[in-house]
Amino acid sequence: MVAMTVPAGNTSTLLSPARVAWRGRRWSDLALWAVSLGFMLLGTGALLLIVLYVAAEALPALKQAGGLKGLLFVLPWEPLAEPPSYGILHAWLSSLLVTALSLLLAVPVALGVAIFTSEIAPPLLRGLLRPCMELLAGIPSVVYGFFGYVTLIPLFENSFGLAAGECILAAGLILSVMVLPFVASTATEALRGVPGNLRESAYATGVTRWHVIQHVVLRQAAPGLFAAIVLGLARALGEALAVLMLAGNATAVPHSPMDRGQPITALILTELGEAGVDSDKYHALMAAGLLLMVITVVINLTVLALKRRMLSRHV
Amino acid sequence: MPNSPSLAPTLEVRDLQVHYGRSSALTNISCRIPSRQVTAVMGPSGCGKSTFIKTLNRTLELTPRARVRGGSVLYRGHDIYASACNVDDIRKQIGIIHQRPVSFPMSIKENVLFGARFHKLVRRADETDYARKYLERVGLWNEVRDRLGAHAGTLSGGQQQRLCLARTLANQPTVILMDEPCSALDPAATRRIEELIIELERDYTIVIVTHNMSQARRVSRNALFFYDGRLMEAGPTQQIFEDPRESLTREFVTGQIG
Amino acid sequence: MSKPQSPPSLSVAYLGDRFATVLVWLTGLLALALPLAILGFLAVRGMHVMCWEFLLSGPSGVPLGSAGGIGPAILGTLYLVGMGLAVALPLGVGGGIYLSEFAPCAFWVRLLEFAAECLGAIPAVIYGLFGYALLVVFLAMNISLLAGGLTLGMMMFPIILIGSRAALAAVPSLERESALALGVSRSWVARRILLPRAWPGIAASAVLAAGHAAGSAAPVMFTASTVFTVTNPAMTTPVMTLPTHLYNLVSEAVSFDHAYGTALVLVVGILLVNALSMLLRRRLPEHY
Repeated sequence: MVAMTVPAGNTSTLLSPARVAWRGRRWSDLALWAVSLGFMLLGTGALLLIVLYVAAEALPALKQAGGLKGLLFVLPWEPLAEPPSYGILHAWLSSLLVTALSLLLAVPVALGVAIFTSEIAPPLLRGLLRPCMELLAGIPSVVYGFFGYVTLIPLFENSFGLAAGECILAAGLILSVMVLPFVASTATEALRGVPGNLRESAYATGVTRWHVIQHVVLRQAAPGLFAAIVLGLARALGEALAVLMLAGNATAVPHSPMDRGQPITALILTELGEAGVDSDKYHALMAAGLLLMVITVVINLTVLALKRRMLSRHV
Repeated sequence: MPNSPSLAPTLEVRDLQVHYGRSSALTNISCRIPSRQVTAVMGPSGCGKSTFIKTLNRTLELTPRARVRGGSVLYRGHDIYASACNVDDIRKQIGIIHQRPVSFPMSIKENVLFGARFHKLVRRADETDYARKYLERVGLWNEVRDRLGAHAGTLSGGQQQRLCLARTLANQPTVILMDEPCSALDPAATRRIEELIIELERDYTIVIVTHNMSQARRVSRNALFFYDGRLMEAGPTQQIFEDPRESLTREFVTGQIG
Repeated sequence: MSKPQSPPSLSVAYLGDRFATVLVWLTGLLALALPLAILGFLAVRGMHVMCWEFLLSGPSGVPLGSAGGIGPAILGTLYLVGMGLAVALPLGVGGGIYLSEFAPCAFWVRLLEFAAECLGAIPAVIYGLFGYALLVVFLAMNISLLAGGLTLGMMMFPIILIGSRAALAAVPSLERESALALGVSRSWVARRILLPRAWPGIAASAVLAAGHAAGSAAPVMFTASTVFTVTNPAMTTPVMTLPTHLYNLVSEAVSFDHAYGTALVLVVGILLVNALSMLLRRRLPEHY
């Protein structure tokens, strides 16, 4: 064994205050702290900036006749009228219709997929489903819009005898496919989170598989399933290109799924190019954007909170 | 080896108060840790042994919510909690190994050199010899000499603990703290570590937390008995076991409590 | 198979069981078929346009884009995403390091994470709106690579931040403690232990963010993109991008053949990127 002598030299420099601040390593820590904090603040400062900026630019839109009520519920979108009016009723109503339609279609299917994945599917299919869902989720909005454009629109024109096939229904159908993977994967997580022994005890009482699923699994996973639906809602509201290409871009207030509509996102994309900054149209677009942003952020935060509660439930 | 009364204690604790959040974990701890001897820290679980040992090299502050509220820890006469004190240097001089061996995600050689490289204790050219020296010291060299570049995670539990010890030794400390170093190991590995401790006593001051009383009798020369956050008794190990002054101590060493 | 004698209510239950199972199987198969159907459809219609000329040369013909290729669009997208990464990666990783190593208290961490989650929830079109208003008009950057790149960077930042934070938090705290107990500095620990451990997770989130940004038309439509350009991309010039090019080809009814080809390139590119991200994430649980 090697004989060891403890080096005696270190202690003399140990505690003299003068040396402390000049240690090279201390500076590197300070630098890292400063740089990382700076980046952190820069990034999150952007959030504050976005929200404040859009809100500030949206305020002038309230100057129109009727104020907030007028903007949201009364005024039509008629930039060429005398005087021009920029009400966004048709926009948020279109958003609502398209979103509701897409959820109506997507949620049952997503629930089925989730139940399939977590309760019924053989391992091979289960392994395939995950990448399939990720694939669906990865296709960009514009490609979905294009796909709908070349499949649904001609179909609608032929079967319903329309001059142009774009309508809220078309947008809603495609949107339901876009939203499906998100709702399905969150719902699957929720179902998987149900503890195994809960299932086992239920099966042990001799009931059918579906009885267990319906009365035990779904009930236990309810908050997570709710979160999944709400997540789908948020994503559907935020989609831009697909609805732009499929919903019809009409500024009249829609009354039925076969009508043409213009969700908020499509409104912004259509009109922004022609809106001079600081014009009334610009402020109205900002107001629409603010509405959209606030709603989607609130929904997303709700989902996150629900997800957290879902996780802590199964500790 | 005979006790050397002329050596001043390396570590001295005065009126130490430690809190976790609002509740008190250690109250009024005062004691001396003699140099170049093994001191055991004993007591029932939850009495504050681990907390105490972590205050000795300022690793307690890495635990969230843990605070040293009062008192001082003197290392060679200087309070390590004074604001002028350099924490990195303290931790270099007073090393610690934990209950669960924690090897870093790098090769065996890089593990040993981790701290030494930072403190610039070794030159690039001498690294392998330096690592070898400490691996030999802990008795690991023959087992790993052919695979210094292998990932440290491939070692067994006992080997990893010895690796952690080599890593700490490579920092050239004067004091080595050990927080129940053998409780996660099998008896054979435990024995090897204990033999190492006895051998290292020649050159280092060692403080070892143990819940195993026979281990304390085997390796330590002095002992501290903690109960409920207080230091009940301190003295030579032999005296603590054979002729304890406090009744609580007697109850503990006879196995009636803890 | 002989039916067991069971009370009527039970056999109804079994029937219902069967029915529900069939229904659920159908949805499962639908979910498997949908992506393959969409991809297959695009591939079949778009394959014949694929060739090197399509990928490398610029649009030509009358109307513009009905012949030639989409080279400048591919280049423009790459440049934009590259710029976005150049902004979002340091901000995101730096922020992740701050949150996991330096943040003084839980409240501060929660607040900053909350801000990041809010940012991540904002739809892409709002980033486009904001980018246009602030960068293009107010800061007079005009429609340019710079404006578009910054907009994409802002959009990618929360994804990378949250991904880095998660990757760094996954490093066992015992390793951090043991390293710091040796008296080394935090930046040493970050460099030698944390980043080597966490980089697959960080890279996976960066790649995911990049893929998402590459396919997004809304943020770049008014900040960076133009219908046609021959010049090489520069900071101050607008660029063609794949998603906006696809949109133009369709909305102006220029060429559906080329639209299929563009869509195919876009989708295949993003798929490859997502596969890369998944591979990176597999590398995460290393030796233990």
